[in-house]
Amino acid sequence: MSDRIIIKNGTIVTMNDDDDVLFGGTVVIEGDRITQVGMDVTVDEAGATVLDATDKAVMPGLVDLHYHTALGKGWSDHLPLWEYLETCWYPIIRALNPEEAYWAALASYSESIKCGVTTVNDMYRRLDGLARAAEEIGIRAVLSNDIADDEHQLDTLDDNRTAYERSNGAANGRIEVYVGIEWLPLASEGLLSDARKLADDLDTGIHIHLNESLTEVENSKERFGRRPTEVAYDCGILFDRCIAAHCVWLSDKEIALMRETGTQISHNPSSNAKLGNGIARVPEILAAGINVGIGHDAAECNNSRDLFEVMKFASLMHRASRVDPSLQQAPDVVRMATRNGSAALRHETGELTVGKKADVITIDLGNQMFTPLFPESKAHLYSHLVFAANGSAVNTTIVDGQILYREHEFTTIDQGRVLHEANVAFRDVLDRMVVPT
Amino acid sequence: MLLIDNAIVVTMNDDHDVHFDGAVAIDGDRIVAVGSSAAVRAHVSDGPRVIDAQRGVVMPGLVDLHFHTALGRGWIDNLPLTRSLDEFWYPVIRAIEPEDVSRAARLSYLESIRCGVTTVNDMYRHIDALASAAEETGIRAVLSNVVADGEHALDTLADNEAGFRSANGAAEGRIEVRVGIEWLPLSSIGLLHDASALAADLGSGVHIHLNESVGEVQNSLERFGRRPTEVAYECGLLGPNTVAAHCVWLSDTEIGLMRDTGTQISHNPTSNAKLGVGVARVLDYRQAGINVGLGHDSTEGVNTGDLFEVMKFASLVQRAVRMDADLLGASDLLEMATRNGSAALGHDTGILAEGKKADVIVIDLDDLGFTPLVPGNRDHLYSHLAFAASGRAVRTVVIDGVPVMEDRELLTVDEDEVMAEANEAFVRVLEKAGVRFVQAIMADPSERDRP
Repeated sequence: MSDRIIIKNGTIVTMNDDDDVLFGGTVVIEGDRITQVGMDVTVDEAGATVLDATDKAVMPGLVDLHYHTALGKGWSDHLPLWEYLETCWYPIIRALNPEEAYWAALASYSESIKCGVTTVNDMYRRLDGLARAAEEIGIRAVLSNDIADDEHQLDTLDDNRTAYERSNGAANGRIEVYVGIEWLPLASEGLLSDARKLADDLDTGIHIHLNESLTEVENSKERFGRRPTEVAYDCGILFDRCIAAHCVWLSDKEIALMRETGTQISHNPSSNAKLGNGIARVPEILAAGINVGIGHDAAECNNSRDLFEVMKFASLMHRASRVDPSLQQAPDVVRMATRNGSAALRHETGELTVGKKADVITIDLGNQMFTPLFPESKAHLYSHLVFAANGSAVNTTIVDGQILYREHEFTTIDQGRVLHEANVAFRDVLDRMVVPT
Repeated sequence: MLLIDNAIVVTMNDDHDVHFDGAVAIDGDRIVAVGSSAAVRAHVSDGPRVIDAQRGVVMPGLVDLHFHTALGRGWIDNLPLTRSLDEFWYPVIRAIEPEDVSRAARLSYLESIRCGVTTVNDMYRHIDALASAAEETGIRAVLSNVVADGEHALDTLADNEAGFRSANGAAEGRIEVRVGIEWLPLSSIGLLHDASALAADLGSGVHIHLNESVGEVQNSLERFGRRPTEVAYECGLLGPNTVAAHCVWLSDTEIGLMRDTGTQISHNPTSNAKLGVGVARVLDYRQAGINVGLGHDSTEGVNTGDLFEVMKFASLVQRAVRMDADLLGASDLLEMATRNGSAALGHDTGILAEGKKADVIVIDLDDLGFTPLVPGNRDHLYSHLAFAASGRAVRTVVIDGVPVMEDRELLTVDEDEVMAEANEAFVRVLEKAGVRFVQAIMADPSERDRP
C-alpha cells in the first residue's frame, strides 16, 4: 500500500461549508489525511496509487451513527420492540461468544463498507472481537458495550472500562471506545449516574438508546415519574459527547433538554418503522438546532445496512406522515449522513477538505440510477444520491487513507469466508440461545 | 427448451411451495415443469439450454402495476403533486416527440428488467414508440395513453384507440393496450363515460389515477359534488379490468365501491410519500378483499424503478404510522409484487407453475444481503427477499420464455447506448418544454414551497 492516493477526474462532492462540488476535480491523500482538493491540482503521480474517477462521484464516506453488529438478520420481522428484544435480541447477544462476535462484526462491517459507510458507532458485546474485526477490515469504529443492571445478564460498567483500556485508540486512533447503555427500562438511576462518571473518568462519550418507543416512555413514567430524556438529564447522561439513538417520542421539554445539553441525536427511520415504534419529530428536532445524524440500527430490525436506503426513507417517512413534499430535501439528508454524523462523534471526517482524515468513497455514475444527469448540476447529483442511488453504486471505499474496497472488490477480507463463518456462527448461536417462554 | 436448474424455486403458488433443490423447465413461452431438480430433469427432453442458478432463488418476475416511462429523474424532488404536474410532467410530455419517448421507455424498461420486473403497466404518450421499446427490450408491457379533456392538450380517446389498433397483441401478445385516463381533475363526466365505453368496445381494460391526493378529492367534491371513486363508479369506469392507481384517501364508501366492482388497486407507497400525498389505507383495502398490487409510479416522482424498495417501504410506512410491527409481512409483500399484480392485469404470470407464462427471475443469494440464511427455511428466505434485498441481487431475467438479462448482462439492448441517448433526450426535451430548473428552490430555504 502506497502512502499516497490520487483520485482524479472525479465529480468531487466536498460537503464543505460552502457546499462546493467540483466537476473534474482531484483529491490527494497522503497517509491518513487529505492533502489536496481542487480543480487545478498538479501532483507527481510517481509512486502513488492513482484512481481514475471519470464518471464517478467522490464524496466523504458515510457515518452510520447508530449501529449494532448483528447476527440474526431476518429472524424476527413482526414483533414490537420490547417482545423482539426479549425473544430475539437479548437471547442472541447473551449466547454470543467472542469468536462469533468477531465473525458477526466482519460480516456487518463488510456490508457497510460495500455500501459506502466508513464509520460505525457500534454498540454490541465482546468488544475484543469487534475491535479485532474493525482493525483487520479497516473500518473506523466507535465501539461500546451493552450495559444494563446486573440482573439482565448483559454487560457491566467494568466490562466497558476494560474494553476501553484494551482497545481505545487502537489502529492509529481509528478505533475508539464509548460507554454504552442499553436503555432505561434495564437501567437504574444509579447505573446511569455511574455511566456518566465512567465516561468522564475515561474522557470518552456515551452511546444510549433513548425514547425509542411509547412503551419505554410509559416504563420511565412509572418507574421514575418522568419521561426518559428528563431522567437521562438528571443523571448527567446528556452532554455533547452523548449519542442518543432514536428519540422518537420526545416532548417539547425533552427537545429543549437535548438542545440545552448539546446532545447528538441519531435518527433511525427504517428501524423505527419496521418495529412499529413510530416516526421521530425530526423537523422540530432540527428546528431546535440539534445536530442529527442517521443510522441503520441493526440488520435484525432493519435488514439492510445500506445507508443510502436509510437516507431515502429519512425523507419519505416525514413527507408521507406530514403530507409535505418539501421536507428533508436531498442536500440536507446527505449532510446528515456525512458531516453531521461525523460531528456527532467529534471526528475529523465527513467532508473532503485539506487536513481532514481520508475517509472517502467513490460512486459509479454510469448506471440507470444516475441517468439522466444534467451536466454540472449539483442539485441533480444530490437528488440522485439520496433518492435514486443505493449502496450498489459504491465503487471504492477508503478509510484513514487505506483502500478497503476497490472496483467493487474487498481488499482486506475474503468475502466468501466471512459469509460462511457468519452463517455458521448464527446457526451455533441459534442452537445455544435460550428464548424465555 | 430452457432448464433453470440448481435453484431454490420460490413458486408463489397457493401453498407457497418452495423447492430447495429445485428446477424450472420452460418450453417456448410457457413453464412446463416446476419441482425438485430430479423430477424436472426427468421431464425434460434432450439437450435443453441450461441456466445454472448457482443455488440462487428462482421466482416469478415482479409486476410493476403502476408505471410511467420517465425521462426526468431527479428534476422535481420537492414540489407538491399539482405543481410537479403543471411545472414539469405536463410540459415535458406535451413537448416530447415519439423518438425521445422511445429512448425514455428503453431506459425505463431496462432499469426495471435489471431490478427483476418482468411486467410494466405503463401509462405514457405515443403508444407506438412505447411498443417498439417494449418489443426491443423484451419486457411484458400493458400500455395506455394519458387521456384528458381536449383543452389540456394531452391524449384523446381517439389516440388511445389508434394505439390499441396498432399495438395491442404485438410481440406475440406480450404487448397489450388499455385505455388510460390521466385523472379526474382533467376529465369531464362525458369523457369518463366515453372512456369506459371505449374500453368495453375494445374488450380492453382501464388504467387511471384515482384519489391520489386530498387536492383531487376536493376538486371532485367541488366539480361533481362527490368523491373521485363515486364519480368513477357512476361513469362505469370501475371493474375487474380497471387498475386504479394510488387510492390514498378512500372513504369507507369508496372502499365499498372498489370491492363491489372488483376493481384492482395499485398501491404506490414510495411515490405517495415522496410527493407528500399521504399514506394509503392499504390494510383496509386488503381486509375488504380488494386485490392490491404494487407500483413504483415514475422515476420522476420517486427516482428509482426498484420494486424491491417499494416492497420494503410498503411495509415500513404502514408500521410507522400505525405503530404496529405486525403489518404487511414478507409473504404479503411478495404476493403483492408478483401474483397480485399479475392477477390485476388478468395475466397468466406471477406464479411458477406448469402452464403459466415463463416470466422468471434468478436472484443471487451469495451476498451479504442474504447472510445469514438458515438452509431450508422458507420464512427466512422470504424475509431477505422482502426486507433485505434490492434489485441489485437480480442476476438473470427471462420474459415470455426468452432470456433478456443473463449474469447481469442485458441481452436485448446496448445499455451504454440507451443511457447516452436518454441523457441527450433529457436535455433536448427540457429545452423544448421550457421547464425551469425547479430544484433551484433548494439553494435558498426561504423559497421552499409550502403548499
